[in-house]
Amino acid sequence: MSSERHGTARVLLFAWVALGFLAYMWQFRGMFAAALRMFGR
Amino acid sequence: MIAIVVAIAQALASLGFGLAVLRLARYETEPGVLRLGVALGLGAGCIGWLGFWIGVGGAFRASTFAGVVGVGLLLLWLRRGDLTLARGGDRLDRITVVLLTALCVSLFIDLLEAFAPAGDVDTMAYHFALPKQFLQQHRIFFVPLAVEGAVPLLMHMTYALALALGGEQAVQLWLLITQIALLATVYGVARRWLDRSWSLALVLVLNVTPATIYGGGTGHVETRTALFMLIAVIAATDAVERRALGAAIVAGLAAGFFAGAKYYGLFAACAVGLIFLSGRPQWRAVAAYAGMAAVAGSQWYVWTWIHSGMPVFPTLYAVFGVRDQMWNEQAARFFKQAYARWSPMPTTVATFVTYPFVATVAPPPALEAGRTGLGPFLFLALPWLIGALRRWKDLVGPTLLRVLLAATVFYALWFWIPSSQLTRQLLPIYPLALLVVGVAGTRWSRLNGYTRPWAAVFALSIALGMAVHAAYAVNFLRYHLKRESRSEFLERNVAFASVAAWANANIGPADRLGNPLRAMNYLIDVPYAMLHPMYQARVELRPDAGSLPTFVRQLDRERLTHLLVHPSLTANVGPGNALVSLSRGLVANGCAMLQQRVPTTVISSRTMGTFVRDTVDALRLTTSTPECQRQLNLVRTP
Repeated sequence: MSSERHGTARVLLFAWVALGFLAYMWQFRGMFAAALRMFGR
Repeated sequence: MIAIVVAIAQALASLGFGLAVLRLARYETEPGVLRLGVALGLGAGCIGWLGFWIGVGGAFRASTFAGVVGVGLLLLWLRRGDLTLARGGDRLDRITVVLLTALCVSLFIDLLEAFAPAGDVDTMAYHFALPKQFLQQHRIFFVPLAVEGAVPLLMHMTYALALALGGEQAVQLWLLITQIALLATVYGVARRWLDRSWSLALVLVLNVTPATIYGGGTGHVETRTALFMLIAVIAATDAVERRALGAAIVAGLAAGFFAGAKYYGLFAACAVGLIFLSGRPQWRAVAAYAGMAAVAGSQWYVWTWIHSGMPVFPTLYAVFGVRDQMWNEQAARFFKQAYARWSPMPTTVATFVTYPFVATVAPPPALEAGRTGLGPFLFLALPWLIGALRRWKDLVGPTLLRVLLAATVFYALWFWIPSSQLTRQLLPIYPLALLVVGVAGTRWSRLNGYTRPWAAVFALSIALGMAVHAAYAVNFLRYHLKRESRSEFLERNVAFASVAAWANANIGPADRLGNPLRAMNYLIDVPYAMLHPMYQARVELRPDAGSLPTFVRQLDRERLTHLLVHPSLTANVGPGNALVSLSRGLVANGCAMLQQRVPTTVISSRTMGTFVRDTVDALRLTTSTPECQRQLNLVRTP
């Protein structure tokens, strides 16, 4: 594989990690909101 | 202090038994942490296996357990030459130091938990409650309770040893020791393929996985059965690849210990067995594996069969029927219907494939996969696994493919054979998945120069896990820093703790309490019977149980003198709440009188510190009074 394609693949992998992590964290949005509300009080 | 001594002595004795087994089987593992982890796991299994016979023999007391520890220590002394730790003295690089520091912080949090009282619901309901009851009677006895009574209890026998010799504190420390044994074994196995820092990173991911944080320091057996599974799988691959009969014996023992500790161990025994058929079958090794698995794992199934009439209670009711009145057709139907609550996903080929993804990013609440699941690591690592599998011969190799085979077969059996879909039940195969994905991903990254995004997968998983672990630690930090008393901690952490305290103070040793509140079982010191509406049928509390005379007869048959009712008799509940409806009938007909209305708390999250205040009614049963007999037209049978 050329270095250019490797570079693109690296960027895509970083993007997958970032988006995948956000997708995982999305299920806890309610918990975070509750924690923030508690903190705000 | 005595608890620390007992826990260390139990760990050393386990090492002694384990090293003796390895020696007898002539199975050579790499010296160092791998041998320590494997030996400790095998030794713990041996102690649990012996515990069953001690319990059957009516010698379930501290003096007998002290003898077992003594034998283990003697074996350790005899095999002390097998204990070597040093393996190269090269300097630690910066990443390794950072990972080691993070691991120490994580283990320190585990230590905070170990030095606090037990508070987890299932631990209070049966993991610690059953050993306590067995020790009170100096024997094991059959508990006709589905899910949390009539189950394989090999690991609980080791809890009983610690409880008998060093009290609850010793058990808590023993749990931590077994968790560390799992980490050591994962590290030792990973070092076969990976360097020190990647191996440590895998260990750290495992220790901060939500399921490990949740279950490692509690009585839940998954962290312990994960150790049995890993030992069994690695020994089985060694048996196939080195043609070593001793490794097959060790694999059989470990798989058997898993089966002896949890019904899911039956799936594990099948999955590991398939490894033996993955190469050219060596029938002597297969026979050795199967024989040892049967010897190590069958005792609790035979025990359950003898007492209930079926080897797996109550799942096999339709096939075997039942002895006694401990189960019936209606109970079986209700159990199946109510237990399905923990299996929200249909079992189809599509859900079989999608379950890991759904459980990771959008789990239905019934999977409990958010706070007690397997975390994001495997999901984030998916592209690396796919990339590596395209060149599986170079990057994965036959050993790890066999590991993957065992994990996949376990997952398939677990998914297709209906039980529950709780994600944390997969923890026993999670270390296997971590090893396969960790090794394959690291190799694929090195080959293509994708190490930085690969490191980001680890960094994010570990950072999130550490944050969750820190949040989990707040509860225990509060206990230690505020110097809370045990009762203050229990009041904050255990639902109905005040009711248990009331029962211990007001109910005598000649009385017997009917207790529908499972969360406080372990705290009760007086005789009691667990009255779960779904898990038992001796006192029927299903929504369709409406006959007051039957209820009174069943209470009498259980020799109950008191009954706890929650919610209280005055609560606004629907007709489906049989306990409240029938209890109101008892009071109205002179078969019971309200002895005390006990204020209490119901905990919804220990970590978040959320609870509601409530009351529990304690009734004194007066079912033998003429008024009750007359009202209900009961005819007493002698």
